[in-house]
Amino acid sequence: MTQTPVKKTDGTGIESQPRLRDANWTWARIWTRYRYGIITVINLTVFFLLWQWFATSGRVNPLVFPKFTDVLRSLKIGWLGGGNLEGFNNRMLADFVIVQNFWETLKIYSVAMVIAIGAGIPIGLAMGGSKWVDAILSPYVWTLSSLPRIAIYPILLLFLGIGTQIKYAIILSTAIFPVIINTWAGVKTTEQSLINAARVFGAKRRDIYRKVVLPYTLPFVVSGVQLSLSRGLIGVVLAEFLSGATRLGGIGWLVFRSAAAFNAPLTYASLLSLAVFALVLVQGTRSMEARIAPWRQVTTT
Amino acid sequence: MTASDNGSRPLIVAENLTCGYELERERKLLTALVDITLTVHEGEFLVLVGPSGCGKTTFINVIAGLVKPWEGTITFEGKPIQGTGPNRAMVFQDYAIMPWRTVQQNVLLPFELRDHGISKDETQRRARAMISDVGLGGFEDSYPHELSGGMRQRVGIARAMVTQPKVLLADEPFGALDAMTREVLQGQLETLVMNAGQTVVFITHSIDEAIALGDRVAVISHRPGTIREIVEVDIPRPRLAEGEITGHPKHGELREHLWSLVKDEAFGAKDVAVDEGAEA
Repeated sequence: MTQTPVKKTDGTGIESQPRLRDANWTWARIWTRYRYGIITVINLTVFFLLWQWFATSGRVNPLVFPKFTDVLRSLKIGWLGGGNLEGFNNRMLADFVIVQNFWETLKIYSVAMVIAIGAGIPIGLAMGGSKWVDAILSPYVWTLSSLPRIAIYPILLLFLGIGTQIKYAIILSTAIFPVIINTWAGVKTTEQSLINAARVFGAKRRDIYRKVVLPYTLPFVVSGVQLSLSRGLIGVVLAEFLSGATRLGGIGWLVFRSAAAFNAPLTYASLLSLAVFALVLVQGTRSMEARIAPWRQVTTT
Repeated sequence: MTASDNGSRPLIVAENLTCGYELERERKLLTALVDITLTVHEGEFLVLVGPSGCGKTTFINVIAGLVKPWEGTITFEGKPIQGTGPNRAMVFQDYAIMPWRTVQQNVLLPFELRDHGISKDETQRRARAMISDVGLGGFEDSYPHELSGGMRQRVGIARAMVTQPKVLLADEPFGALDAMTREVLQGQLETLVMNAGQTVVFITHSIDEAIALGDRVAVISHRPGTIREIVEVDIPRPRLAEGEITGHPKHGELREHLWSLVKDEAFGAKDVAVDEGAEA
């Protein structure tokens, strides 16, 4: 009946990992510790060197594939300003053009995402919790979520015209469904035995929701939000592609218009900025998932 | 400890109990138990043994108050069972502990869900004592995913016993554990139950487990389940604390008898084994 309270002996995987603690650094140790970082740095360096070499080799039209150094130059002007545009492709390019458009995108995107998540979670909970709500809403939710969202663009255009509203509409229509569906799935798949256990120990309907269903659903919501953030990003870029803005149409607009104006360095620079943002976003939500629900790794798409 | 019909107060009385459940997908009702008449006495360890799908779980769910009987009556201390109550707690086959709660928080759950008239500090103290009683001292702040299966079930046992319920219900609690862990936990459960004078209704499909733990063993036939025979296990306790119960002279005879009863049922169950999983 007695068991020593020493955690290391039970084979539970709790025991701590051996740590590199002495200062006795060798190249081998540095390698084992930082190898992924080192590999990534070398990898990317080689990638951009090859890019530069390929672009300068004359095998490809610079209107299509610019030198990496030109992309860097566009990035500097677009983000930090103060660029000398003389002798450089300056169509669409101006001081701070990327950062301004990026900010525009970010504003719309974040507001739309707050709405999508803020509305998606309660809708998903209601659908999962009530057969009536589920029966009433599910035809719309499933149809709209299966439909390629771009197909409703003409109708949205008729209703909303070209402007900010249609952007919100497109982002919302792409981003809200993963939240709804994942939340719904979490509620629906809550393990019956956990609910039974709660009932045996005295849970009323309300307690079952608060103490079992909601915590059980949380990781589902997190992966829904994660999915919705990347869907929303598609939505915002798509909306900007289609927008009729003449200036400050957002980062997607800048990608689209700069390509149309044959300013390839700016197109690539805008695209790289977007890629870095998307990467940070996805990695950020991953760590959020690990922190919010460490007991569980859910992958629902 | 051996409490049978001689003198001990009847705690749970089931009379002509018939019960079943609905198969949602096929939209039909399935009778799980027919005409069960059974008494659980105070302080006894009653084991229900039978083939899978025989309605054992349904019976224990009726006692727990999770399932309503279709016909017949079931009473607890003379009052009909209506819903769950603080006098009954349950240990589940799949542990059913909340993965987002630490061991301590899991064991505190019954106090959160029902007012047992105990102060907050006292519940904390009791939970900690119970956790150490089941051998998990030092793991109060661990999460279930950091524990082995056996340790998780200890949490399940601690959660069930922390409120000192009149009856402990156990639905194949060791069914998912490996043989060694199972034996250790059987021994610990016996000790816990003996110390607390706990009344237990315990489901298993292992004859050895039934003999090791039960004061009486009720053999249930395959679905729809009826009681075939109730066998007294007249082996003194503690049976598991030191060494092998299998060495006891009565063990072989009991085992053979129970096996002959269960064997018929297990083979008889073949033709209905198709929807076995539905019980869960």
